[in-house]
Amino acid sequence: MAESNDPMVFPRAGRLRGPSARSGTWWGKAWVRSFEETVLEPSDLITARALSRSGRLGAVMVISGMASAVHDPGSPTAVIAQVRVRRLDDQEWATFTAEAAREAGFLAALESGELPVELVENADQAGVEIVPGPGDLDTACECDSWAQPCLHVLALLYQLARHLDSDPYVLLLLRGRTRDQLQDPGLVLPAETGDAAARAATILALADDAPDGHGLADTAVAAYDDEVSRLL
Amino acid sequence: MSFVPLQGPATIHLADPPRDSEIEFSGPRRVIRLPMKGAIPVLTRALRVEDAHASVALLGAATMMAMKFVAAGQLRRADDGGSWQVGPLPATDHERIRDLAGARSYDGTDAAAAEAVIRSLLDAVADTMTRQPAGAVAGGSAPSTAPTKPSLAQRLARTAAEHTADQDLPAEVFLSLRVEAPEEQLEAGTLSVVPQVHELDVATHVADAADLWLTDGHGFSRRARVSASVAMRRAAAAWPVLDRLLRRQVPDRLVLHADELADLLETGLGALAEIGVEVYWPRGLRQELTPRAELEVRRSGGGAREEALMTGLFGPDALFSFDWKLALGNDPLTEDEMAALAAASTPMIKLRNNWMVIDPSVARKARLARTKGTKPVAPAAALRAVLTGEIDFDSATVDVHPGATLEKVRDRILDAATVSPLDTPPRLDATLRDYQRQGFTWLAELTGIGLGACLADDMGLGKTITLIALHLHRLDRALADGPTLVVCPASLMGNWEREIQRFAPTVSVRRFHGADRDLGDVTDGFVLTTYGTMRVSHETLATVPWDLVVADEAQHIKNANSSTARNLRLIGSQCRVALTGTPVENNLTELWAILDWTTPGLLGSRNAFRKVWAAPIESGVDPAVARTFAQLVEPFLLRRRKSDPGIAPELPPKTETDQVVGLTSEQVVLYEALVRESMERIESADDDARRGLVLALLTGLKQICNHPAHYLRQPNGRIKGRSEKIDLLDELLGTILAEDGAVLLFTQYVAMARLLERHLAAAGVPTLFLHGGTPVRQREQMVEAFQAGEAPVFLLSLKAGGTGLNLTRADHVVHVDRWWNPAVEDQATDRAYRIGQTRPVQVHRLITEGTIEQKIDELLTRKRGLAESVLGAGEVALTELSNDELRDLVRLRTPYG
Repeated sequence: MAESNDPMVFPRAGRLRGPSARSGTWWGKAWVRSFEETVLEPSDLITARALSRSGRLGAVMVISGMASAVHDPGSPTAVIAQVRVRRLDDQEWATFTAEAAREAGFLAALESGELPVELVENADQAGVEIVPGPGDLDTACECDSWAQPCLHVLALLYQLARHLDSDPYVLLLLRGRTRDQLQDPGLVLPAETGDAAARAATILALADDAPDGHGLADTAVAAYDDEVSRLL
Repeated sequence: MSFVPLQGPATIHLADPPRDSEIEFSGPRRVIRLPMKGAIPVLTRALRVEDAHASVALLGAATMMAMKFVAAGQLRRADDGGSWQVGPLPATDHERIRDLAGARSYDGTDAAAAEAVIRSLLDAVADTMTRQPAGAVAGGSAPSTAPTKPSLAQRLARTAAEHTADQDLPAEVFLSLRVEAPEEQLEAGTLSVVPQVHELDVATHVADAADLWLTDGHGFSRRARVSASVAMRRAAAAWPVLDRLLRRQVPDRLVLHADELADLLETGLGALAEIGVEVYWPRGLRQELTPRAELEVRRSGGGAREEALMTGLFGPDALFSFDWKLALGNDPLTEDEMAALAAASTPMIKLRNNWMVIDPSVARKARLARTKGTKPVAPAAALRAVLTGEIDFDSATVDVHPGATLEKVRDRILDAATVSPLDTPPRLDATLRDYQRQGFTWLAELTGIGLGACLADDMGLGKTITLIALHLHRLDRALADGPTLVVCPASLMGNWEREIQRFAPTVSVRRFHGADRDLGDVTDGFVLTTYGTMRVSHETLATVPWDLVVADEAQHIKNANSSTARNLRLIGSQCRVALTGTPVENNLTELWAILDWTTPGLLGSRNAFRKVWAAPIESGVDPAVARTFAQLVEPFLLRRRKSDPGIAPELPPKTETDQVVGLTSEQVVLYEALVRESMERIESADDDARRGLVLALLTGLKQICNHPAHYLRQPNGRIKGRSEKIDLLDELLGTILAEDGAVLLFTQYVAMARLLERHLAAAGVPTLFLHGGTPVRQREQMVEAFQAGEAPVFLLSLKAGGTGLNLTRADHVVHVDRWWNPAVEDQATDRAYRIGQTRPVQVHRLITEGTIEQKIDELLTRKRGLAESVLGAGEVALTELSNDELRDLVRLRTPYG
C-alpha cells in the first residue's frame, strides 16, 4: 500500500495552552464517556487532562486494536502506557461494512473526517457498537500505580480523543480495521499476517527510540535486543 | 545477547525457507553468524550506530523497510506455498526498493547487487515475522495428494495479482454531471442528472459513477469510489439538492423536478462551476435562446427627415426606447411564443416542437418585458448602450442591438476618427496637415451628432488651429448658431488671439477678461476667457447661447469638485470640446472629469464610475471591464503622439511658436515708470551718458518683462503670480513632463535662471543649471547627466559661442527672453536640434504683449527697414536711435491702455 494507515503515528504534541477544549465531536465525547465512567477518583480526571496537554506524552502510536505512548520519553522514569480495545470480529465488521455501503455519502463523510451518526445508529441496530463501551477497554502501564486506568493511561485516552476528533478512522483502527480495509474488505488479512503486522508495528515503534551504542557492556542495547526478540 | 560487531562487512546467507537464513557480522577480532531471529534486533538498531559498515547499514535499512511492509499487512504466501514473503507490492513500492538500493550501494556492491540483497532480506524478514511457517497452514492436509490444495495457493496468487493490478489503476477522479432528458420524462416535467467520474489527469477517461460500484472494466481502481463519493460530497455542499445522491447506496442518478431544475439553473450551475463541476446538457435542450434587446430613437411625430434627426441626436430632449425580446438563433420569438414563455410555470418548455430548458431569469424578463412594454431610455444611457452593446435591464446586464437609425449613428461615431477627411474650410488661412484634417473631421463628426469630445494630441500638433477649423466648418455648414467660447489659462489667451487673427482673419475675436470685461452683444466669432474669470462670471457667460464651449488645457477641470469645474458645467452650449496635451487616459478620475463635461452622463455619476469602472480596472481583476471601458471611451478621445507613425514625418524637424503672454499689473506699473523716468533723462542727457542710459533702459525693460523680482533684484522674492511668463512656463512644463519630454530653458540673465531654478525646485522638478561661470569639466558632467535623462529641465544662461554642447535629448526649447539677434537664438536652439536628434523639436519663444519684446519680434519677423540696420549689430545699435524712434520702441501699447 502506498500510504499505510496501520500503524497511525501521531507525533509528540507540544504543550497546549488556552482553555482546555473538550472533545468537539459526538464520537469523541462518547469515547471520553466510555472511560471517564470507570474512574474511581474524579480528581484523577482533572490531573490526567492537564497531563495530556502538558507535552510530556511522547508520540501516540495506534495499531489495530491498540494504542500506546511513552510518558516522559528519553528520561530515566519513562513509562509506556497502553490501551487495548476489543476488536470487532469478522462477522461484526461484515455487518458494519454492509451498513457503511448502504449510502455512498457515509464513506464520503468518513473521508471528510466525520463519523455519520446515522451510520453508527444503523450499525447499533444491527448489533454492532462501533464506539467502545467501558467493557471494551483494557489498559496497562509500566508505572507503579495500583489503580487502572492510571494517570498515564488516562492522559493517553484524552489525547486519543483529540485524534479521534480530527480523524474517525483512528476509532475504526482501534476497533480492528484500517481505512483501506474498510473501503476494500478484500484487503483484510488472515489472522496469521494480522498478528505479524501488529508485532512488526511494535518493533517499528521500539526502533524509533532504539539505543545508538555498539552494545559492548551496554545495558540499554541489551534491553532493546531482548525486547525485540520477544516480539519475534 | 552478546556483543555483535557492526564495523566490519556483514553478509546474508540465504536458506530455504527464508526464515532459516543467517547473517554473518564481522569485526577486527571476531566473526558472528546469527539466525534471523537474532539478527533482526541488531539490524533494527543498526542505522543508529554512526560508524556501522556500509553493508550493515544496507541490511539495517532493508530490515526496517521489511518491517514496514509487514506492519502494513503486505504479506503473502510464496508461489510454492511453503513460505511467506512481502507482497503484493504496487509499482511505487518497487520504486522505493530501487531507490533504497541506489542510496545504499557501496564500494564493491553496486545498485543491482544491493537490490538483490534487499529483496532477499525482505522475504527473510517477512517469513521470520510470521510465527507459523506457511507450510503449516497450506499443508493442513498433504499438499501433494489433495487436488484442492494447489488451487488454494493458485487462488491466493490470483487474488494477489488482481490486487496488484488494481493498485496501478487510477484512483483519483473528478466529477461532472450529465443531464438526461428522454421525451417521456420531459412530458412528466422532470429530467435526470447522472454523475460521471473522470480520471484526474485524463478527462476523456470517463465512466458513470455508478459503474465504480457495479461493474468492472471501467479502468478505475476500486479506491476510485472513495474519491468519487468525496467529490459528490463537495458538489452537494455547493448545490444541496445533490445530497440525495449521497443517500443512495449506488449514486447512479437523480431525478430533478421542476422546482429543483429551476434551482439548478438559478444557483446550482454557478455554484458547481465554481468548484469545477461541469454540467453537460443534451444537444438542443439548452439552445441559444438569446435575449435580443433593441434600442431605437423614439420618433416624436412622423415625417422628421433623417438628416435632421441625426443632428443633435443626443441632445437633452432626445428620447430612446428599449425593446426586449428573445430569439432562437437569429429568429426572434413571436408574440405568442413570448406569451407562452412568460406564462410557463416550469423551466421546461416546448417551443416550435422542441423541448427547451429556459433559465428562470429569462422567463422572468420575458414576463417583465410583456407587462412593461417598451422602456424609455435617457440619452446618456442610450449612448452608453450603443457603444458597449450592453444595457442594464432588470438589474442585470443584457446585450443590446441598436435599431436602424441608431446603428447608423453608432457607425458614424465609431468611424469618426477614420472617415475620409473633410476639406479645409475655405476661410481658414492655412493648410492643415493630414492628421490635423483628420482631427478636425473627427471633431466635426462628433459635434455634428451633438456629442462632445476630447482632443488630447501632444503639444505642438496644432490643436488650436484644428479647433479654429472646426468653428469655421460649423459656420459654413450652418450648424453653428452662436459664438464659440474658449476657456484657457491666462497665459494662453494671447496665443489664441494671435492664431485666430492669423488663420481666420474674417472671424472676430474678443477677450472677456480684466476688470472692465464686457460681453456686449456677442453673436458670433470667438470669445476668450480665463478659468479664473469664468469661475467668477459664469452667470454672465451662461446668458450667451454658445454654439461651442472649448476648455483648453482641460486638465484644469480634472478636479470635478472644484468651483472651476462646477461652474464650467453651468455654461450651456450646443456641444463641448476639451483640449489637453497631457495623457489624460492615464488617470481614470481625470478622464472621467473631462469626459463627463464634454459628454455628460456617458460614464455615469462619479460614484457609479468608481464602482463600475475605476475600481475593477485599477484592481485588474477582470480584463473584460477594461475592454468595455475602452469601447466606451475611445470614440470620444483622440490622442496622437508626435512619435506616432504617420505623424512624425508630417512634422517639420523644428517648429517655432511665439507664446504671447500679458503683463501683470505690477509689471505694467514698473514698466511705465521706468519708461517715463528714463526717457526724461535720456532726452536731456549728453551723448556719452545717453548711450549708457539707453542700454540700462533696454535691460531694465527686458528684466521687468521677465519677472518683477528679476528687475527689483529680489533673489528670494515671491515668484508665483507676478509674471505670466512663469505661468505659461508652468503650463508648458506640465505638458512636456507628462509627455516624458525634456526641455532646454534659455535666458540671457543668470539672475533670471536662478529664479527659475528656485521656482522649479519648489515644484519638485529636477533641473540642471549651466552658465558662463560653470567650469568646463562640470559642463561636460551636466551635459552627460541631461543626455542620460537624469533631469528633464536644463537651464542655460549663455551668450553665443560656447563649447559645442550636444543636448539632443531635449525635444523642447524655451527662450524665456528675446535675443536681439536671431542668429544667436538659432545657435541656442541648435543645441537641441542637431544631428542625432530623432524627434521633432519645438521652440517656444515667450513674448510679453505690447512691450519692447513684441516690438523687436515684429521687427524681426517683418524685417522692416529699421530692423535690418538695428539687428545686425545687436543691442548697441539701438543706442543710435532717435528719441522718437526709441520712444516708439519702448512705449507700452494696448491692451494696457
